[in-house]
Amino acid sequence: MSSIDQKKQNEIGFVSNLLLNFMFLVCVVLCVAPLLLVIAISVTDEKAIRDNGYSFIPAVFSSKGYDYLLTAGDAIWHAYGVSIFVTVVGTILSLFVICMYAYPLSRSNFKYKNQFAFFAFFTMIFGGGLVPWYIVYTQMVPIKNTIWILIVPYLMNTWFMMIMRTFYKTTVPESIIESARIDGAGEFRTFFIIVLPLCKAGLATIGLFCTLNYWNDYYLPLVFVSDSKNYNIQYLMYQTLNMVQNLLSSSNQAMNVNEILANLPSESVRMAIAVISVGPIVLAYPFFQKYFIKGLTIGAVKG
Amino acid sequence: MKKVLSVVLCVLLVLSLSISSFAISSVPVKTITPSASSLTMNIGTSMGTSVTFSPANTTQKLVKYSTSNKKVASVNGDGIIKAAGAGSAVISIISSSNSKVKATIKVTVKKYTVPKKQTTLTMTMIGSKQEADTALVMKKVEAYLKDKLNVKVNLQVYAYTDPYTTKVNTMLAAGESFDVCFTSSWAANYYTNAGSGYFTELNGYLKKYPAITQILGKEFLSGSAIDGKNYGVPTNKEQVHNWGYLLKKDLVAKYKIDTTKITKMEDLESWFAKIKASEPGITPLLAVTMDTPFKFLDWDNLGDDDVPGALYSDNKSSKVINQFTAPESIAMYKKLRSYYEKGWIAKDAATMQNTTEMMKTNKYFAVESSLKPGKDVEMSGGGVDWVQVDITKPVMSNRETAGALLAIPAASKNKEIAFRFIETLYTDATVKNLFNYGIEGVHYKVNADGRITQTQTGIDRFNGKDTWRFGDSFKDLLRDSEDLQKMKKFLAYNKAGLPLKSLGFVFDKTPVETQVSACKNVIQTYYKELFVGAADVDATVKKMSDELDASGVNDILKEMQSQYDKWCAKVGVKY
Amino acid sequence: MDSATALGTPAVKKKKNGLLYQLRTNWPLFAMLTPGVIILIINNYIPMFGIIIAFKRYRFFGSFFESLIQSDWIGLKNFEFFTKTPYAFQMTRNTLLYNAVFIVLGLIIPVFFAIALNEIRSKRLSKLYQSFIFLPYFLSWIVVSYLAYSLFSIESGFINKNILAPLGIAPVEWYSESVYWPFILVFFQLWKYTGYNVVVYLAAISGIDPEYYEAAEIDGATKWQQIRLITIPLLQNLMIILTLLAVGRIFNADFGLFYNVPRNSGSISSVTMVIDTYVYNALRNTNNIGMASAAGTYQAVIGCITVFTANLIVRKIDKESALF
Repeated sequence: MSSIDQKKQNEIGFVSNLLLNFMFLVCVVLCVAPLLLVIAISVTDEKAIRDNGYSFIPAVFSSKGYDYLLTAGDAIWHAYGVSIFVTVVGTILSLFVICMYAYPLSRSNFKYKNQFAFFAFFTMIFGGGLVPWYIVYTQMVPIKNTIWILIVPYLMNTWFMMIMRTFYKTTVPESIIESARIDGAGEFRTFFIIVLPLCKAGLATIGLFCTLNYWNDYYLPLVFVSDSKNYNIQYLMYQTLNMVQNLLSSSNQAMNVNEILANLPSESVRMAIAVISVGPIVLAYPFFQKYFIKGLTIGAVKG
Repeated sequence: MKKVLSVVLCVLLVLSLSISSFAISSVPVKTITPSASSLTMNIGTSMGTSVTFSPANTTQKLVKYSTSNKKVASVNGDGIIKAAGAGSAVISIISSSNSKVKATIKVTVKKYTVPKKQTTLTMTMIGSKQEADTALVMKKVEAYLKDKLNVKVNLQVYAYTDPYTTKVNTMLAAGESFDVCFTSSWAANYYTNAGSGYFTELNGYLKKYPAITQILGKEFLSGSAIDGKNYGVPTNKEQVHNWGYLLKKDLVAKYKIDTTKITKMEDLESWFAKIKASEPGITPLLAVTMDTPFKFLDWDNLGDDDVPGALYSDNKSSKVINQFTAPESIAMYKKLRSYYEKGWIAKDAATMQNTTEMMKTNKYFAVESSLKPGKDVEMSGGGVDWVQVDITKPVMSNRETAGALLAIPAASKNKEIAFRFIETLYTDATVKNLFNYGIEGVHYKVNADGRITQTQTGIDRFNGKDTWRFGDSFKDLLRDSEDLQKMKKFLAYNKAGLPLKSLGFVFDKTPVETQVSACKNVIQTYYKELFVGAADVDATVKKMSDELDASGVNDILKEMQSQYDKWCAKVGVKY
Repeated sequence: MDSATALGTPAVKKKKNGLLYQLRTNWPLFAMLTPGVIILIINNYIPMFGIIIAFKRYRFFGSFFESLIQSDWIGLKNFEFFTKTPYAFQMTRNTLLYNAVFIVLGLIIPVFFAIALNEIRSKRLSKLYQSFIFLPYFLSWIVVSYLAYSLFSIESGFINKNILAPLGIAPVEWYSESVYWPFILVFFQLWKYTGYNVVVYLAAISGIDPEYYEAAEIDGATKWQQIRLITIPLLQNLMIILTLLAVGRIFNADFGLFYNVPRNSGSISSVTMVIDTYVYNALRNTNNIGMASAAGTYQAVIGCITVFTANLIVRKIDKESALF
């Protein structure tokens, strides 16, 4: 691994290294502490929360939040299944769509690259609104009652596509494509055999973003899904976490707000739901990171 | 002879005296009038009746019910009529004190006309979540209704409030075909959705199938009509409201507070001072968002609660005023400000959001609340018990009529059968309770006293609650925690309410939509501070009223006034 | 075909640049574009017809399309509800200023972090830091708002109770003092998104050919010079694109942040109200799709103007970096 040897000689000074490390340490604490707080609250007794406020160390330990989730059981596990399926299938398909769309746009000799870039970009700032969008998926492409409604609308993402285009531009020298062509490789062959392997870091990045996109989505189920068998985990969480806030701010006239609120899950349950909804994605993260690191060490021309 | 005469006279005197003394303590009943003189019912359904007495202050309020034909209709001691078979019967109501005072109700019982083809009705309902056993319960509903309506119900429950509102509003605007829809003034807004033409006008059906009108009463039903047209039918529950305090029971006992002596806001102030001084850790008054003593002014808001424009709720004047800058309101802000400065209201009251959760903290002595019979028992539990004290008088206003309604979307393809299905939620206790609590023996058990206890399966898989969302709540089975007399108390409470003259008036905000949304934002910006006394009153009111002026509050008031005057003239309301 | 040949060489040249010629010779590239184009048409372009709702008083007549046609035209009336409020200036200013700050800091900080992470000696630590900085991105704004509340709650918050109280400082009424909020909001925005952006830039840095640095080192360039003359110029393209995209959305505030974190507190609304939250509050529950559509159109039109201008400027300076 010559690049690692190279780096060893080409390193920053000891003091700067120390300073940078210190800076990142502070950042890490800032980023991790609130998460620990969420976890701490999720295992704190309800009464202790009320008496002592939020605290990093549970005054009284209680697993009630998680017990509740276990009893609410099958709905949550089913939603988990939906989330996993949608995330895996959605990420693969959307990587495919995005990478293929971005590639021609990165080719300087492709005449219509600006037009197609604009075609995609325009959708980012201009939209028709919720109702017409809903009509499309109920009447023109009627997939509203299938699980595909959670996948199809997010297949193409202009933002990610633009990032991918830049990746191609910086990572794949035109000369490589040129020489592949001279060797007689077709466009598809060049793309799949030569270009994509060069862009592993980019693929991992976009893949992670797509994964997060699908995993963290509550909007599509909110708008489209009517059958509870297609609810995903985020939507379940959205329902409970949002209930309190929305009830109070939107329903001054509601006669029965108190009755509804009295039945809501407690603080620790809400935090427990938050923890389990974040869990899998945090676990999946190292997998993607492995590819970033690979990207970092292998470098671009090693393919 | 003389002696005999004197004895007779004496006896007569004593008799007449005793009679007259008897007459002093009793007001004889002269006439009784039933809530309806004729009823049309379907087999298997039941309907409650009530009686009004004249003179109203009569002490002889006991009546006996009997039926002319048990095979057609039976009646119990509370006046609940059950339809048993097709035909007609006469229900007689006779005063227990004077058999000459009586009234009759003619009951016609019809068979359901059962459609040959099964209809699938899609119903959207607000709730905590879609319960796991929904499909199972709907199977039961289908079986039960097979020989009545021959319908199958596809029940879709979406969560409070935004998920439901977003979903249903989109479905309505997109013209999706579904059949029954929960709507209200606070989720999937009844007035705007009806105004945009998304709901079916129901007057024709209400006439053709009179049961719902019979149950709700014309007055209450007209309260939810828009320009005389009903686009939804409200739940039959408490039809009136009043405001008051809930007080912490243990402190009331400790300080021996005589709650019967508390009738106005000021009566509690000395107790607030005492509790502040001698109960460290207790804040005397919990004030959160709109749940503050500001409610005691009981403005009859003609728009939403955060839209300027209201009447006094005493039926005396038809003048529309801005309730947020009215002298009474400013006096109230100042009073609340003094509470706040004395430390009777918590310093972060303006940022609190969840009244119920704050109530559970055991840190507050009093909280403003809407009241109804048994509200204190309902809110008690979890280590904090409450006692209720009334501050304002019961009033029947538009507030209650649009709290929960069922509507039929304009795009529905099964309107008539959908309406008949809604009707069964009002007339058929079996259907209503299936939707409430699920299946007997699976999701709940019936106790010896007729009240029910939820089973664990019920709690996990069909957690029946919030029965106020649809139909006739007086047909609900009582939960084991509820007062056996709940329904009777509710009926009495409903009767005690003063119907406001504005009942049934709906403000059409389209001409001033811009101003309304602008003013709403102004109110939302300032009301929290003012309602809990967290801001200097004069400066804040000045800022608020300047911004309201800039947002066109006068256009709103003018428009409201002209609409209200027109409406009064049209329906014959006089001041 | 025949007429083209008959017209001679100029026509042939024209044909080479024509769409048909391109389709024939570059068909694989077009084929690659096809899935994306189809999705964009279905998901984005077809629904755009709905924009006419913004100019109509939408009333329901049997079906959506009928309603669309039969509803009355009302011109720009739907747009009035947010141009005619006393908050029009305030919310526009807030939206623009916050987004400007987010764009600038969202560029400088992640680039700096990405470069720093790349330079830290221990790759293992670098990886660790990177993972942790990314964590907040996993949390939804709703959860973040709970976190913020646990820190800033006046009576039981972490800061008032465990930091200020031991120091003998009087508790701060966070949710009613507007001076703190610009900082709080900026902090949480950066907190949530920095990790995400760092990953993007880090991946781009990893794509830079190490030979550049090797060559630079041979030439005796210092680390600082290498960063300034190699890394940053090579990241420039990505920086411009991400910035342009952000500029295009300068009139769209991050709704989740502004709606959830300040908890709708009225007395700080002068610094927390943005166009999106105003529109949401104004339209909540009214189901007025005309006004909703108007709000979207307004933001899109201004967004278009901004981004076209920005793109034009970028094009003038460096054609390759332009968005389109």
